Amino acid sequence: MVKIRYSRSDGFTEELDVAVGESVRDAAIEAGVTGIEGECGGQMNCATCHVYVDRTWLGKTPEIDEIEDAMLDGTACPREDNSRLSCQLRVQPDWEGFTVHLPESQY
Amino acid sequence: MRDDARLLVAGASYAGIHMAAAAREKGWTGLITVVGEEPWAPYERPPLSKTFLAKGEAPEDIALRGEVFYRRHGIDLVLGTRITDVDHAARVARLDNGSTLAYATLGLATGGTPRRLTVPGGDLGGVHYLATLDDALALRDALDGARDVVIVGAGFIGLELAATLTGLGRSVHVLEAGERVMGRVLTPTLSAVLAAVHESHGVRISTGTGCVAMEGSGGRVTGVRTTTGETLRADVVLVGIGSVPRTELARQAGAALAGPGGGVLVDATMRTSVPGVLAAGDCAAFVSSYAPTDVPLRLESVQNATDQGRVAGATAAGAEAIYNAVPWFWSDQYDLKLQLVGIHDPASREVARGTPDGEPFSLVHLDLENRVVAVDSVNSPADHVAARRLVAAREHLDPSLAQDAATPLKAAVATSPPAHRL
Repeated sequence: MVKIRYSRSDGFTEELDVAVGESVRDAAIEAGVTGIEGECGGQMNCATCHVYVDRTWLGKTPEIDEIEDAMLDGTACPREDNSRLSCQLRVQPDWEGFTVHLPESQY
Repeated sequence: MRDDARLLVAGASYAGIHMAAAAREKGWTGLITVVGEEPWAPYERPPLSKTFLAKGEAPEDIALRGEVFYRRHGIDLVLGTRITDVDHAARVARLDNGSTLAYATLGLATGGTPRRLTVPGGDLGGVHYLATLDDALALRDALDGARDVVIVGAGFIGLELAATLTGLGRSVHVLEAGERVMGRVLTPTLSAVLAAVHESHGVRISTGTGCVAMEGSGGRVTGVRTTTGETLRADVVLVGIGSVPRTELARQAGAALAGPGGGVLVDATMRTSVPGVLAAGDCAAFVSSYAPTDVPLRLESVQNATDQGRVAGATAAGAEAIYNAVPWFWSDQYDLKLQLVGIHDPASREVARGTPDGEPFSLVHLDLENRVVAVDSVNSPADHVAARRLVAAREHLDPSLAQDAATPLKAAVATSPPAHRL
């Protein structure tokens, strides 16, 4: 298990123990973290699991593929250079303390 | 908390759960009870025709939300239970376990039920429908040892299953009574593209062909007799010929329907014709500002159920909310990502971006004034995402720019000459 932090726009932060290989989105859904939706179930069809990766972790996440890149243009809150779809962030063994910031809205 | 300050939601899928959660988030302070017929905690439905079958996922792998979510939102889930009738004058619902629930507001998220194929032999073992998790589990069992599968209906469900089952090594034959596949949602151009992709994977497709009877032996289906006089061997038959809205509770509550067999009429706030009764999702009929006419319609999609549920929840809580989300749909078949936005207008014309036998490919549907009314994309999420904004804003688009696949859709709008921006 790896500790993953979800920092909400209202300042509240939740920390979850997530299994290696599980997506940041799935872990949030299971644990009832609000602020991440993912209504397509993690198939890169909806762009409602948008997160901002904490800048200290930039460069330690997998590359954005073409589909994710296109879908990130459809997020409700503005896309930034640290924007990701959390369904595509599969937790890695060395991600202890990995932090994502949740946008104000997914719709 | 008083018992009569309850929001009672009938139906525990996307529309019902989002209604309940939004009501709480928007300030509903009373009880929230969601009653669902199925024994399972609410789950994601799109995987049922795809990964749930292909990868053998467990029910908990497709949970819509974790258990903590309901606790945090103060939502009581009453599962494996059906509301048999409502007395809206008294604001009491009776459940099939004999108990009653008083409520202040009733939210109908009862969805639809698969349209049945009423042919001789239609109730033989091995004839399946796919709407619920239990349906998918039964289908998974039935596929064990099955070789020949006949699918009746070439809509979303039929074609997704054709792709999944072909991938699982089954021999698949699709019957479609209409002239072409997915004829209800696609224009002939994309129907032809999809049919060709399926055929290239070995799926046989017979359009203009219906099923007149199922043949069987020992209570199990063995074949499908078609309107063209053939009998197709079948170990399993899957029927996907649409769904009918469930409106029993709405009728009991006195809510107006959109004609016989139609959905529960709602306005943009998801209120029905009866005060204190809301409806959302597959069971609801509404006038869409994205449709070419004012005829109430139902949309069967995750997007529609989710967004209408959220509006209904806000309305229940006394918050102001209006449903005007752009309708979008998706379907994953083989390695094709089909993404649709908007509602086709028969009067619109289509402009192709790319060539139909290549990818990415999109069809841009423009009305007489060159406004974007719908975009259908194959493996072109960039077009799809741009299209959501274009359709929402009814942007004007120069047809010659629309068909230039080298120009991104969003850029094409910005550079459409003023003459075309009526």
